[in-house]
Amino acid sequence: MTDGAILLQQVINGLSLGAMYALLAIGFTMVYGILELINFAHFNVFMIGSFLGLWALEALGLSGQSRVLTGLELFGALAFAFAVAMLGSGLLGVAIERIALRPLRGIPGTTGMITTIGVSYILFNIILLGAGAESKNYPNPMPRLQWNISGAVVDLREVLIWAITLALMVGLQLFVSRTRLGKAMRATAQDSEAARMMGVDVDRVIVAAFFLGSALAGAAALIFGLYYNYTSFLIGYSAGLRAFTAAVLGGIGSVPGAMVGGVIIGLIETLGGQLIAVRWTDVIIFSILVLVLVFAPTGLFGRAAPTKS
Amino acid sequence: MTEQVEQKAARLTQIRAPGRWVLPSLGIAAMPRLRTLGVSLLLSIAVLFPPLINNDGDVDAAANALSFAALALGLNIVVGFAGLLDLGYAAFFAIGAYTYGALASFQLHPAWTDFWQPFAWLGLVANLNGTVHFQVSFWLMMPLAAAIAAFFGILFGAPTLRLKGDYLAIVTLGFGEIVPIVARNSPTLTNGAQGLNGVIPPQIFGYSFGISATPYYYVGLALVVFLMFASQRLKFSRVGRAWMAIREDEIAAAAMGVNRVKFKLLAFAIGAAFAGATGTLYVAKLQTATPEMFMFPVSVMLLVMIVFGGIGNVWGVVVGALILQILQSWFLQDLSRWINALGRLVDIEWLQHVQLASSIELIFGLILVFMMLYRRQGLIPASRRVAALTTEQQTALPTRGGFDNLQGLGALDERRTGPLLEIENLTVRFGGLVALRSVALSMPAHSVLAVIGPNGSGKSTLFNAVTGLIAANEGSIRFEGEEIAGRSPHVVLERGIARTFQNLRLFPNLTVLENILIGMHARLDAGAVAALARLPRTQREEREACPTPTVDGVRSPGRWPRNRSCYCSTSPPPA
Amino acid sequence: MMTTRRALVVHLPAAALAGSVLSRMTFAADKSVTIGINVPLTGSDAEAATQIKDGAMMAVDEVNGMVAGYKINIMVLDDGTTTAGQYDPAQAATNARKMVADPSVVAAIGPEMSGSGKAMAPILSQGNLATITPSSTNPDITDPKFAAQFRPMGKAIYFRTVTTDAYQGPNMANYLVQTLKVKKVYILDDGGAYGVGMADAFEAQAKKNGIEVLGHDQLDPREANYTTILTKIKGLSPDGLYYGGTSLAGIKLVKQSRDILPNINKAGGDGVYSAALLKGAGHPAMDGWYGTIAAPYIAGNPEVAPWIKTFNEKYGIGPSGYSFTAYDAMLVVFDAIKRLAAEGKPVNRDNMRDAIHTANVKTLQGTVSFDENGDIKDRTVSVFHYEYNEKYPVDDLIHQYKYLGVAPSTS
Repeated sequence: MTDGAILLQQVINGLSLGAMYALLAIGFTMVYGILELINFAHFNVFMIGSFLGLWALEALGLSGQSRVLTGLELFGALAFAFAVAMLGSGLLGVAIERIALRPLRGIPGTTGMITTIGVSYILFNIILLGAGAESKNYPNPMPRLQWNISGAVVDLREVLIWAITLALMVGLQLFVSRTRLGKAMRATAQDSEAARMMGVDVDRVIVAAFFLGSALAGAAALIFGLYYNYTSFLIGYSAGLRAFTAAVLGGIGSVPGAMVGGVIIGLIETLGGQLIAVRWTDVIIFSILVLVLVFAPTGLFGRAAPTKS
Repeated sequence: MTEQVEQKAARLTQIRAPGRWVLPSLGIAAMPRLRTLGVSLLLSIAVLFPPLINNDGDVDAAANALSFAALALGLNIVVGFAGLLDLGYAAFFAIGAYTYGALASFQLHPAWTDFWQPFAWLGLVANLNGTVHFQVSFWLMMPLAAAIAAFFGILFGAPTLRLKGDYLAIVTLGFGEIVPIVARNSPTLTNGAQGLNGVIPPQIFGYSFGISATPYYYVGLALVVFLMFASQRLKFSRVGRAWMAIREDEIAAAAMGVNRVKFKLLAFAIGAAFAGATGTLYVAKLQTATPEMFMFPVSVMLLVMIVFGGIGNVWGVVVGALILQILQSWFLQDLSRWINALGRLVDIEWLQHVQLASSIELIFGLILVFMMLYRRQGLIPASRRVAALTTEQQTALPTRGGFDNLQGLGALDERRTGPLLEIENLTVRFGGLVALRSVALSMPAHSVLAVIGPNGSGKSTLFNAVTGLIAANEGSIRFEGEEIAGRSPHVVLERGIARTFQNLRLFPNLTVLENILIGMHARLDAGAVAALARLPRTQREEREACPTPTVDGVRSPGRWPRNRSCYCSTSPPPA
Repeated sequence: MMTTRRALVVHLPAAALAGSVLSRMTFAADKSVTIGINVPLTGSDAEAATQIKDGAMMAVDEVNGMVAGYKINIMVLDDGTTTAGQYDPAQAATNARKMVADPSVVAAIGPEMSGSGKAMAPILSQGNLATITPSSTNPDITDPKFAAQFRPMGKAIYFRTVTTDAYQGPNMANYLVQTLKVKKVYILDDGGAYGVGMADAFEAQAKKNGIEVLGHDQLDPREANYTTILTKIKGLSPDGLYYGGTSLAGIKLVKQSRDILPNINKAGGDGVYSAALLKGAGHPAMDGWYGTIAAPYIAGNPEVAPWIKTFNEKYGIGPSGYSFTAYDAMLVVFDAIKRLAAEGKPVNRDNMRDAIHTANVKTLQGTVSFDENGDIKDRTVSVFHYEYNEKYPVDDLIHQYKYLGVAPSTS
């Protein structure tokens, strides 16, 4: 393969990764925008979402990559899996908010974040102890279709990822800008007290934010499983780190920022690995995180850094 | 006669009330003597533990537990005292461990040259077949590793100084992850993933510690005792009060004269030093070090230990660390064995294979969530209930403590002429909103100036600008001729301008006495070393700062202000 | 409320202490010895560890727990912790101390991983407690160059029924150049102690054999995405890929490399020859991969078939390559006990070490004997090729992998 083709391939890889990170980052940034809370548990909600998708597909009788569906069957199977993964993750997110976070609302400091670390550990270990430590083979009914673009290969999976991610993002954007609840969410993110005084039910808004964010994580999780053909209890960790950096880079609290940040981080990961070495990718990502937080905490699109005591 | 009885009674309440220290969760009202007895008993048990138990494996597990207790103490300083949530604390542990490992193993072996000869004379290196073999003594390395870790503490802490709680945690998390990755990718220094080989065990008077866990246990015990002592000394000192002020309310602390940068870095440095020293011990005992030993789960485990035990309470974190470590390496394994035996007895398959030790992380998560929701103070809370004042004390006539002689402490320079405070062309903008436009003010010495204005006219903004809480966009503020615009609040205070807040900013979790003493912060000057050593001059300084009681109108020497509330004269109010 | 809390804080540790002390009181039987089995039953290697433990236990069950009149007690110790997520050298050291401190322990089987072995060896040497490892392949531990670190008392105590990575990686490099005619190779490892050792040893030998090493990068086992490095490798057009590491990264590598690098020779060490990898990746991803083990091929021997059948029935999973070597290790221990009993010598630690060192035992893998460092004298590395056999379960190592022969040793 020519150098140009390789680079193009890495760009395509990076965009696919970036789409996943963007979906994951959006959920995270939505919660932060409203609650100013770093939700560590979000990434393990993502992990559980992928297991939900796994079980949904297995319930349909699929297993492994050998059985391929097409047309309406494929669409139906995927729609079912997405529904299960997104709904399940969303409900899990709402449950976490209700049980672990609502009692702590209003307490300044890092109490909330510490609690989410605890919840994250709990989710992680429930799956580890329940489903085991080995990687699970992900049922993937998609046919293997590939297209060649000047030397680089684009798979049907990649197209699927971009299509779904774009659809979800557009949907989210419409929701946030056109619906009442969406407007209430934006208002609460800017000033929750004023929103409350305007008659916004802030509790409901928060629940909606958690539900939406977690549902998007569930979608990202199913995409992850279909892309890599595996899942395990560990996937929350590294995808979480990347998505978190993406959210911070894009400007924490800003949904468009999370989208852009996700794509940028995906590209950095692939191009960095190509041009430097894969063993340093984690260090690069962490360094970006630290540098952005220290020198430009508002990121690309964010508001001024919140004054949380 | 009645007066004598009254005075005697008052004196008794004086002694009892402040001296009574209630441990709410244990329900023990411990007088100081009882406490000392309890501590001695505990110490004796700890010292006699190895010969009593006579099992090297158990002593080893106990030594590990002590190491983690030492780490918990270090984290307690950063998180508990100074309120800086550090999620990457294991990095300092790693730095201490690898520093010792590199300088006391076969890892580094440059070719021998004459450059190394003086070091060989000092016993730090040896010539092994033409290569340098590092064999720096463990006892030398422990403080050295602590110092190096402290340096990294400052290095990692510096970028976080302006960040708030959550962001600070994330940046420290980042550093905490970078260190093991760098360790893994630097095989020349650390032997990477394969782990260091052949770390030299400590030697004392020619006797090498070897493999037996007992000497390491004793070193660990001594380390924990020393670190507890150091923590307590620091806590009840000017340094500790500064940390607690920063933890409670940074802005108010700055306005009280606390140099936030210096004290935050100090907290990071001291906390890191604790971890560096512990790293040395841990690696000396294990005689190997791999990057996996220092990753995020270790930092989280330490966090769980201090949350569980009681953030900010020295005894609490030690108890928390010991309980959780014993749970992990002893109790859960034994419990699993009993459950397995039970399973064999009643022939239930899954019971026979239950391994509770693998669920320890689940337990950690549950502990964190449970503690945060229902008992944030932990097992042994840091803030203790102080007995309320008696009616006598409440109605007594307080005498004034503090410094009688203000010479040299912010006293006005009477020889100066000209206005005391001069503000020129002061402009403050908040984005597009101009709060103050070219304000000019001139205040002569020995005057009282009132600034009056309607709501939103910028009065608070003016004061905030003068005292350094917000930065002015343009203009100059001169106090006693010196420009103070743009200086930090604590610098402004040291120059001589103090302020109060419209919405009271007290430190709610500190006692009244501590609140007052923080106000004294700029007039005292005990640093960390002085606090640790409790030099006579530091003791005198603290005594003079604390409002002292008078008995029969005569000032009696105040006691070192610990957890005693401010007690005052017992003379009855004038008729 | 206070009383309850105080009771909890005071009574719980007291109960724990009492219980632990009680459980340590061993009621001495007439003639019994304890053999320790130390493997990482917690974490990512749990499945492989269980297969090793089961292999060793096969030997114990065969003799009904009695050898030469001695009752055999087995002490199973777990050197994996959840904090490490896999084997933990600190826990391994603690376990070693436990075994050394218990006078009834006369020999041990394990550890599985060399990282644990490094931490345990000095302690075992101090206690003169011999251990036979069925799978630890890092050569440093028995290398006389490092004797001062790993056997400070001088005598060999770390015995292996498996040969070391000094042979596994390099012999595969020989195979690659001689049989597969590979000219350009890219090397990956998983950053772990074992994987890095394998990859480095392979690299050194590959270079000596004249294979062009295009690069050597490291995978993060917790990471999911290896498409970046695989795309980079694709751009370099090698005809061989070598992976040193375990199944945690291996599964993802195998799956993703199938799409990106379908047609090159892909090989790995004994981390690739593992049931976990087959279960996680399987067909068609694993098609064409080569794996090795640091032992002769045992399962193909028809005499071993009943053993395999019994193993399957008893434990519900198939044996791994190291189940056999663990079984053989236990046989060596039993043989030592029998010889000591026959000579009328007491079965204690010191005699056991000497007896094990002079062992010459017929086992599943042939005759086992050890050289002066404790390494097994037989330096066979077996090469396998994955060829999917749909008649058998996906993780059946014996039937999904085709035995190709012995990897050529370096002359």
